[in-house]
Amino acid sequence: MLSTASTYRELANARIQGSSISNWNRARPDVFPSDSEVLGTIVNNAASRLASSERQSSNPAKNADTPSQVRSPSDNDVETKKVVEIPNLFRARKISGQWVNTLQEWEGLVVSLSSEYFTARLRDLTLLNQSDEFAEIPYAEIDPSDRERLVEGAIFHMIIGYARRSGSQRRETFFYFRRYLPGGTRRVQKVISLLRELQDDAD
Amino acid sequence: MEHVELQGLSIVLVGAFNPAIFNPNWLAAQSVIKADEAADATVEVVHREIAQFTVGDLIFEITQDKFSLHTAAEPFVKGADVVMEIFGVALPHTPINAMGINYMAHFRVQSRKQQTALGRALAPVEPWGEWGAKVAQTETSTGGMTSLTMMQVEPGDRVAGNIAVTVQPSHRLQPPGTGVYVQINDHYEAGPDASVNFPELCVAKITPSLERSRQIVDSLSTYARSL
Repeated sequence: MLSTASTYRELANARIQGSSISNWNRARPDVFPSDSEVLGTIVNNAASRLASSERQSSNPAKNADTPSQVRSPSDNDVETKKVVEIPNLFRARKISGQWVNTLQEWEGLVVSLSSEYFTARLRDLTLLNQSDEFAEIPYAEIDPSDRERLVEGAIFHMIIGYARRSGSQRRETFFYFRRYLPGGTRRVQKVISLLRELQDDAD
Repeated sequence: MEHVELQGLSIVLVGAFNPAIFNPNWLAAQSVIKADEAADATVEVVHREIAQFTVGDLIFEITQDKFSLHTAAEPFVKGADVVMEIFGVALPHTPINAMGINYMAHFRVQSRKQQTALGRALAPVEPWGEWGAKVAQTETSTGGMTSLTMMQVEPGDRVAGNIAVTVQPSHRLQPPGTGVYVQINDHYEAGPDASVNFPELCVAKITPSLERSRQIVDSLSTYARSL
C-alpha cells in the first residue's frame, strides 16, 4: 500500500499533469470526487491510523513517548503539499444575510483530521487555478452547526467573495458543508465509518 | 468571475405538487429550516394553487405543476440540500418528471461599444440585409440583438434534457449599456422509459452544473472584454 504522502503526491501530480480542466470534465462530469480517488486517499489514511494504533498497543514502552513522536500520516503531507495562497484566507467569518459576489469558489474534500485543523483537497470551481490544492483549515473557522458534518470524506464549499451589507462591501470567506453527498461519496463514507469502528475495536 | 456583479441560482422541479402544504412552519417541522428562520420568514401567499414565501436568502414558489427555489446568495449548493430534504426525505413520493438548475449572472463590460460588439459578434446584422443595415446605423440609439439563446441538445450526461444559454443586455447594471445578462438553463428530463430520482440527481449535478455555467459566463465575459 502506498504511504499517504505518496498518495497525496500522486493525486496532486495527476491533477497537474492531467491536462486541462475541460478534459477533466469530460472524463468525470458528474461526481466529484470519484469513488476510487476518495477511497484511495481516505482508506489509506484510516488504514495507516489503524496500523499505527496496532503498533502502539503492541509496543507500550514506545507509547510513553507519544503522541508527539507518533505523527499522523497527514503530518508528512503538510510539508510537501501545495497550499492555497490567499492573504487572510481564514480570517473572515460568515455573517448571515449577506449577499456575496463570488470571487473564487472551491469544492473541498476533507482528507484528514488533526487536533486543531483538518486537511482538505480543494478544487477550484471558478477556474483560476486548474490543479488541485491542499489546505489546512482550523476548526475554529467552521461554524459550530457544521462541525458534526466535518468528517473524513465530507464535501464542502469554500467561497471567497465580496459581501455587501448596508451599502458597504467587504471580503469574506464562507464555508458550507453539504448535507447530502452524491451517491458514490456516500458509499465511501460508509467504508470510512466501518474503518472507524474497526479502529475503535482495535483501541 | 471578477466581472460578475450580480448572480443567482434557481432550481426548478416540474411535476405534481400540493402548494397548500408548503409554508415556513412546515419546512421547520421537517427540519429543512430552523424554527427561528421560519419565524422570520416572509409569506406572500399560501393557497391551494400557489405558495410563495421567503426564508432567509431562499425564495420558494410552488404551483401545482412547478416547484421553484431561487437564491441570489452563496452558497448556491445549499439549494440542492434543500431539494433533497424536501423531496428526497419529507416527500419522497412526489411525482417529478423534469428539473432545471438555472444560473443567472450579470457581468460588466467596459462600454456600450463593447456591449454592442458582443451583440454583433453573436448576432451579426449582415444576414438581415437592408433592414439589418438600418438596425446598425441608427444614430441616436443602438439597435441589435436583444436576446439570443443557444442550446446544446444532447449534453451526454443525462437521460434526456438540454442546456440552453440566453444572452441579453443587462437591465440591472447601471449605467445602461455596460452590462450583459446570461442565463443558463441546465435542463434534465426523465425520458419516456426511465425513472429518475431527481433529488439525488440534483445533489449530484449541482456542482458540475454550476461549474459549467460559470465557464460559459467566463468565456462570454472574457470574449466581450477583448472586443
